[in-house]
Amino acid sequence: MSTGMWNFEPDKGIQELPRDIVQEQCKILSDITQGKVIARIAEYDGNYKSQMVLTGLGAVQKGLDMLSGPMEKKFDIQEELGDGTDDSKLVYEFFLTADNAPRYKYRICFIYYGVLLYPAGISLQKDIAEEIGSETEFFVGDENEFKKILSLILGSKTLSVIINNLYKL
Amino acid sequence: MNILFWNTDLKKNGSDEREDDRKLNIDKCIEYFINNRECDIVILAEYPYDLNHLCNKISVSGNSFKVGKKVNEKCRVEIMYRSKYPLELLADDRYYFINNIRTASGELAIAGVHLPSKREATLEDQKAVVSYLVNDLQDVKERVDHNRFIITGDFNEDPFEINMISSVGFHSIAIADIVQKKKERNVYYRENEIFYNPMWNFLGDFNKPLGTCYYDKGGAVNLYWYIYDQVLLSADILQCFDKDSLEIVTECGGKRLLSEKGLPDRKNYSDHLPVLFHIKESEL
Repeated sequence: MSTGMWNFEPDKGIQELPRDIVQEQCKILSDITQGKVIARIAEYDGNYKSQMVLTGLGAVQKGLDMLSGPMEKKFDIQEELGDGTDDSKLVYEFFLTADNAPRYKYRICFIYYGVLLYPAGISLQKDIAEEIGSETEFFVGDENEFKKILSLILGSKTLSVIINNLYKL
Repeated sequence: MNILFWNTDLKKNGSDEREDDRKLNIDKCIEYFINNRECDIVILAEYPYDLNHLCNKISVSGNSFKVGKKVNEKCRVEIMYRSKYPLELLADDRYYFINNIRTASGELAIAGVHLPSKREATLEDQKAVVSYLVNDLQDVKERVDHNRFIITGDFNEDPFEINMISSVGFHSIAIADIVQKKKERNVYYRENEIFYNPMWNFLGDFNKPLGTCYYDKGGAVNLYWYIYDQVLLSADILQCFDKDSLEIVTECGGKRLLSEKGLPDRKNYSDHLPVLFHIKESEL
């Protein structure tokens, strides 16, 4: 039998997933509001960061540009390796809703990361970003930084008002 | 993968307190089935509320569920599924949907059905809807790269009734071995696929419960207990079906879904009992 060449030890270097860190807070909110206010972190497959979106004639123009572009283009094999594409990202939306207001949804942020977990990207609702003095779109480098920013977001006045009002519904 | 079907018999009646209580009881049961019976796929009929809200509530326990997409907004049957399984809608209609599910070891297709009841439709009407579904299954088979099909739901017919057994209907029989060996049956010079219907095993009074729903309707023919809620499996998925797991559920977190008389407790839950079964993903 061949000897395994993989460097894998199941219990070594386990990091808590950003999703699980947020999920713990969802459970805590449910407990302190007796299930009246619901926070959820859920898989998301739409746009999660600001970008130029081609519409109408823009899309047609891009097609024409491609046709009239240079006949040769350098193919970089590195683009095919690793998990650098957006398809390989784990993307989550983090939002609030309430048991008594099933159709209400306040989206706090999007959180996205690759299998290495960090840097993890956050696209944050602008009122909260303004209040805590952060950009609306940024990256955090490690678990400590992630927990620190999460604590600022969850403790913000903006969310506090929303949670209190949802609790009263 | 654990799959549950339940006709919850809920109606949106404005401010009917009893109906609100029943919805609360049913939601708690679904939560229990997901949290404690590890259900991965939940298919519901007669649940006229926003399933996204139920998914949000369930998420607190760390179970991430999504609601299956619909094209036909009037579809009478809905699916919620554990987010880790990518689900693709292949077809839907007022009375059924067909979804393809990808797992780490392979794919399967699942159709959820709630066919017209005998109170609202004649046998010919039922036949028409069954033929739409059978045709859609044929179309879908050409689009997916496998022949692993499960059809589950409220068929509004017993396993021995004509649409369930006829070669122009679901063509389902009670014997898995025959389905596995033959896969198809020649009927007047055409091959017709056969399905296995394990619900035949619940007929009669050797085991309890005696069916999935109970109606004392009077008239010349009255069977009292009926098995309208069923599971059909194609030959290629039979090796994945855990026969011992198939259950007509009568209990949920210590609460009985049956009344004191031993009939489905329609006052607090539903006039139908849920059906639960396990598919061995590793065999896909």
